[in-house]
Amino acid sequence: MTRRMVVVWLVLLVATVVSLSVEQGNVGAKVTGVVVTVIALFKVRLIGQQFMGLREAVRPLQLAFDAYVTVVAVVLITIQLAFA
Amino acid sequence: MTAPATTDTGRIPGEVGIWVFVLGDMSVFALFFSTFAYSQARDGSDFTRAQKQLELPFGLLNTVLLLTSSLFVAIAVHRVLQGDPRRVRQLFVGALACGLCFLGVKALEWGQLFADGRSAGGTGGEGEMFNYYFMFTGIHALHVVIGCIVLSRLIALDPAQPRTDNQKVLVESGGIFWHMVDLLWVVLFALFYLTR
Repeated sequence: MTRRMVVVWLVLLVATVVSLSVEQGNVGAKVTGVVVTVIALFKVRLIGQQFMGLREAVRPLQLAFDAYVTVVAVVLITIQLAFA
Repeated sequence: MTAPATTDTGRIPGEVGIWVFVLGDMSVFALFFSTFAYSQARDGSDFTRAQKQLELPFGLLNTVLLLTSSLFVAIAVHRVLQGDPRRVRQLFVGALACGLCFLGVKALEWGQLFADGRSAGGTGGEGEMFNYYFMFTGIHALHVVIGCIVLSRLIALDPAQPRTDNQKVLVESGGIFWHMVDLLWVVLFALFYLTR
């Protein structure tokens, strides 16, 4: 279990480095915004599933959390694409 | 406080009440995130010019600190639930140290911005960005302070004594709160430091 948590932590760090490299690259503000947002919400879900214990939680709680992640991702990406 | 709730298809980590609070708090922050993203998209270059004045290394260091503290807390909580007392207190102390370092880095960052004449209450795209920055990161820092108090309470539990069901719920609920503090920062870091 400890090893799995360390692997999750490493994935979170790698995801952070990837989003950093996207910010440093010349891919345009819209693409950067979308990719960085998707990576951030992926990290949020990973923390929820693996660290907060949602992986073994009752289904409604898992669904509520996933709904939150999905709604925030959709709203932020829509704003970035529609209003920028 | 009640014993951990379980069903045939899963369990409720911690207490039901902590999830009501956590999901409610996360929803408030979702409004913060959306408001910020809308203002950023509307104001354009003035807004992003202000974002570029934020020091990325500060944000990155704080991200690593909170992710690492979450790892410590996750391992400690798992061990408490399994009845394994090995290094539980040290893990919580490590998480608390990361939390305090986060606050130190944040104070340093704010201090530099204040010294450069940045503050809340400004106008225009640039001023609006710093209004959001100081308000949202300030509210988040308050969460870190509360989390540090919670971790201090968990550190104070006697590691030599077997945990009661109520103590296990307390430990797991405290851990869930700390992870929420971490995941809120993950989004704040992305919005303020990386989308510019």
